[in-house]
Amino acid sequence: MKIVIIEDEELTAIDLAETILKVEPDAKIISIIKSVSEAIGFFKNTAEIPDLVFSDIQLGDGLSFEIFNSIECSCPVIFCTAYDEYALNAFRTNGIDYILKPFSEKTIFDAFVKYRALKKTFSNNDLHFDHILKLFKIQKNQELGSVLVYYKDKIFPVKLDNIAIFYIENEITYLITFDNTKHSISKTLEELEKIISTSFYRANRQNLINRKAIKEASQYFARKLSISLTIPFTEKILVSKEKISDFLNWLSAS
Amino acid sequence: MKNKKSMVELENAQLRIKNTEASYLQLKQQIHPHFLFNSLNILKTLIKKNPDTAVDYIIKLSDFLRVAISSNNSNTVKLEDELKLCLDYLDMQKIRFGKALEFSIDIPEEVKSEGFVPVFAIQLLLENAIKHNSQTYHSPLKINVFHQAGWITVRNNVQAKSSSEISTGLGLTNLSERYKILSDSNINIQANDKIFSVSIKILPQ
Repeated sequence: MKIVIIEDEELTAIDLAETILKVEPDAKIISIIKSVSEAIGFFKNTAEIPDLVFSDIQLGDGLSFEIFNSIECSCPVIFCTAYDEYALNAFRTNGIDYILKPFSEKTIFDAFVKYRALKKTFSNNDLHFDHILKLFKIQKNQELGSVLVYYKDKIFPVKLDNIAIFYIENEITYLITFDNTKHSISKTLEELEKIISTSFYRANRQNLINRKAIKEASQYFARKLSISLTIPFTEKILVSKEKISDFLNWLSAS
Repeated sequence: MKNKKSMVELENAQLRIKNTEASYLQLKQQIHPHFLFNSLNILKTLIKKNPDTAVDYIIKLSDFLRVAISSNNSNTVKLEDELKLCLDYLDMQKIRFGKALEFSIDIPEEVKSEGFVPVFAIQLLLENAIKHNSQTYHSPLKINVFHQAGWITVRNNVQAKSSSEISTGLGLTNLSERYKILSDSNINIQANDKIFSVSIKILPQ
């Protein structure tokens, strides 16, 4: 049986390889890989398809899900992690196999027993790693507290609580704080929307607004809503009629 | 006079809050299960393969956890104590990641023994560098800690991870606010696409 190990801690990788050979003397470790980029290179070029992959999750240059998201890999993967609540949740809900580190001989032995018993159905073909990857990133970022503001060659953090609105002007993203200072930032509204909490709402293409900054909403032409803010803001902020009920739901959910 | 007194009281109260937040964050990060379980994992292998290194690792881990648990009472620590903790931290990371991580700490002895910094200030910067940058054997992460005219700088080469956690900025914000209260200086962040560096002022007490 041909096995590939993906693990960025060299000592752990060696330990795993030895343990595998102990419980499965016929196994052949065809490669020990240390990073996402190395792994993608390996799978794209190798003629030797492994029967089973053991893969760590957090690698030095990214998450191992990216490997299986970007290559065609029909071989089963067993993920290994010391502790990762987000990953474990994703695994349980998606039926992905994993082992916990530090592993014992029995852990590895059981993994092979399971592999053999389920060989036919034991395949990650149907799994959507892009979905897991996304889930992983979003969950990890739920605790975002600040954004970094760039000014000349300086960078400083601004707390989300202090930000009234993010908006786009001439394709640059700006923010205005509650004390009326304006800064440009390097993220797009799409990126911000993914990582900040529900206290902000994407009213339209240009505006991402903090709930606390909304003074009132009034009827506007073409059954739109016009939002006015508690801070001075000259551009009109409109919510399209399709979005109005969603917006009002969000506004009342405070 | 009365006004001044209440100002001082207010600042003290603010400082206490920031410190509580910082120690909470520290506890959450340092004694985070992730850190502990990764340590236990590497220790299991070290005990089999290299018992001497395992002994070193356990002592460093114990020292580190002891400071993490007991440091929340005081605002600042001696620079040499902070640096000891940072060295322990980096040594532990180095045992795990080998050649993928390079570091140097270059601070003159007389600076070390006289200055103070907010507790876990430098460690936070090191941890940020490791958390937000790619580190592989192919292109190692390089961290330098050095002294310049009363400031300590933590500098690293920027190597974006393909799927990194986007920074929450909480750690840096907190550090910046602790500095504003402790001294009149802010932390100094410099960045371009190759180098990221944060400098913090050494405090007299």
